This record gives sequence, C-alpha cells and structure tokens, in this order.
Amino acid sequence: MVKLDRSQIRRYARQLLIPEIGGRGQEKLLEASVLVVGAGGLGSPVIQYLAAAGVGMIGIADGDEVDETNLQRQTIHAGNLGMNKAESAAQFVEKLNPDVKVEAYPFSVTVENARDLVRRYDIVVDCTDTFPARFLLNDACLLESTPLVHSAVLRFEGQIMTIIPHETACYRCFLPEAPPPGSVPTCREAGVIGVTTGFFGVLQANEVIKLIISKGELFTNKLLYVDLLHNDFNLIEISKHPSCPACGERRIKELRSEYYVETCRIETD
Amino acid sequence: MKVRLPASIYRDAEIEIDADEITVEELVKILSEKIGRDLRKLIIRNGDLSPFVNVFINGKNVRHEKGLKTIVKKGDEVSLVPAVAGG
Repeated sequence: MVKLDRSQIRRYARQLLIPEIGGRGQEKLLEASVLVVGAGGLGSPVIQYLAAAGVGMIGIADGDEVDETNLQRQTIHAGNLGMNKAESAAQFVEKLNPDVKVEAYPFSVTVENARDLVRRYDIVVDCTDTFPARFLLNDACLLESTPLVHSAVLRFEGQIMTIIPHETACYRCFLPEAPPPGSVPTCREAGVIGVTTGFFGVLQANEVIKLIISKGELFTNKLLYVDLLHNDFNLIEISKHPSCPACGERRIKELRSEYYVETCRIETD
Repeated sequence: MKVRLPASIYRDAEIEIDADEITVEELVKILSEKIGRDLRKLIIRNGDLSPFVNVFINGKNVRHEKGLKTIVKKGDEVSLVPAVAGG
C-alpha cells in the first residue's frame, strides 16, 4: 500500500480533510489507474482533475493532433499546436503533479487494441467523439469487466452515465444502435461550447473519484441529460435490459469490426 | 401533457399537447403536425421505436415498456433524448 509522505500530505491537505476521502481514500487514489480515451473537450477536464486529485496512473489515448479550433474548449493543450493530443496531455499532467505516472498512447482505440488497453486499467473514461468509438469502448469494457464512465455533448447539451459491467445498464441498453451517419449533427457541424465539455468532464472525473474511493452515489442505471442553455436537468432511469445486444441474454463474446461501422448494430448469430 | 424537445432534434422547446390518453405513436403524429416537422422519420423505424432516439415518460424509457404503444396520459411529462456523440 502507498503511504503518504510529508509533501503529499501538504499537496492533498484540502481533500484529506474530507471524511469520505481521508488518508485511506487518498492512498486508493494514488494506487488507482484510469484510462482516458480522448484528450479533447471532455478529456481535458477529466485529465486535469484526476491528475490534480492524485490518481496514481493515468493512460491517455488519442490519435489526433492539437489544432486551433480545439482551443476554445480543450484547455490543457496551451502552446502545443500540431502536437499529438495524448502526448500534449501527458506533458500537462507531468507539470501539474509529479505523483502521477502518465502513459500516452498516440493512436486511436480500435477493435484490435481496445481490449488490451482497457485490461491494463481499473476504470475507463469515454471522452471520444464518435458513435463507433463509444460503442467499441462500451463493448470492450463489458468483455473486460471494467467500469466505464460515459459522456457525450453537443452545443449546450450533454449526457452522462456510469456503467458497472454486467451489474448496471450499459450504453447499448440506452442506445442499441447509432443513428445512421449524417442524421444527427456532430460538434463539428452543430458546434459545442467549452463550458458544456467542462461541465460534463468534471462530472466524469467526479464519478471516477467516487468509484475509486467507493463512496457516494453514481450515475448507474440512470442518465443525466442536461440542457445548460435553459438549466434543464433531467435524470432518467435506464434499466439493464435482457434484450440488450451487448450485455443482455445474448451478450457479445468478442469484438468484431463489423459491429463498429455505420449504425454499429450487433447482428446476433 | 408536456413534451420536451432538445435542440439537437428541434429548436429547443417545450410543447403542450392537449389529450387525455394517447399512445406514443399518436403523440409523435400530433407533435409533428404541431411543429410542422415530421418527427416520425426520426422516432419510428420499420413500425417500431427507432434504436437511436429514446422517449421517456416521467423519466421512464418507453423502450422497456410497450414502445410506440405505451400510453401517455394527461399531466405526463415526455422527454425525447437523442443520441449525441460529441466529446
């Protein structure tokens, strides 16, 4: 078990005072490993707050490079235009907190590498920006029994849910298939504001911290859907469904590339 | 009954429908006429609830009830929660 040294007691003093965290909770945070997939709008606050809180090992996967249109919402990439986002984010973490070991994966998560990456971590955070990537992470986490914290955003709206594989509703219980390409606008087409990704990313980081310290309540079997333009907060029940194509009675047994194209439908044999 | 439409489906709006007891399918039809946009293409696929839009009545997903045949009553709150993927 990690024992806190004097400088760690100073660094984490404010959260050590919280009864739900304390010394034991901080040790759990320092021992935990979290994979953040996507170092963009959602990933920025997730990485920032998990690193600051002292999560001991953070893996960051992203195959994209930082460009100018990212900077109004992706707050951790200052001065790194053109650099790979996972590597840029890793640099940020190293400056922020030397307690955190960070591993950058400068490539996208694919059917071939998803399970191997997920398996190395205690918790996965979905900060991706496409339906295929989201379904892929959901299914890989189910197969590896790794908790997943999902969020997705558009304009001033977003949603968050936490998935404990085989215990609580999964992403496909909420959304069995993706909309046909082109039928739902993306952030590139319809826009997004940094406060929306910031808001949901911070909620994701909070879910991860609660998972690690085993305290409080999670967004499991429910989805929070918020419209920040009108301050409209909706907490919606999502049940684990027996006919879910991923975690139901005919659950998936492997990742197949045909499950992650177009509408991401799983054809049962 | 009140129907909440998010900006990603239609310009953000809360629409009041005056009916005592109708099915989700009937609600979608009335709603489409009221806003002048055919939501059936989005919500209904092959005669069933589309797999990429969720309809909630008072916070409960109709997909796990009777789908399009689920009854909506006077005073119920209906939310349409679309699939979004941005990050």
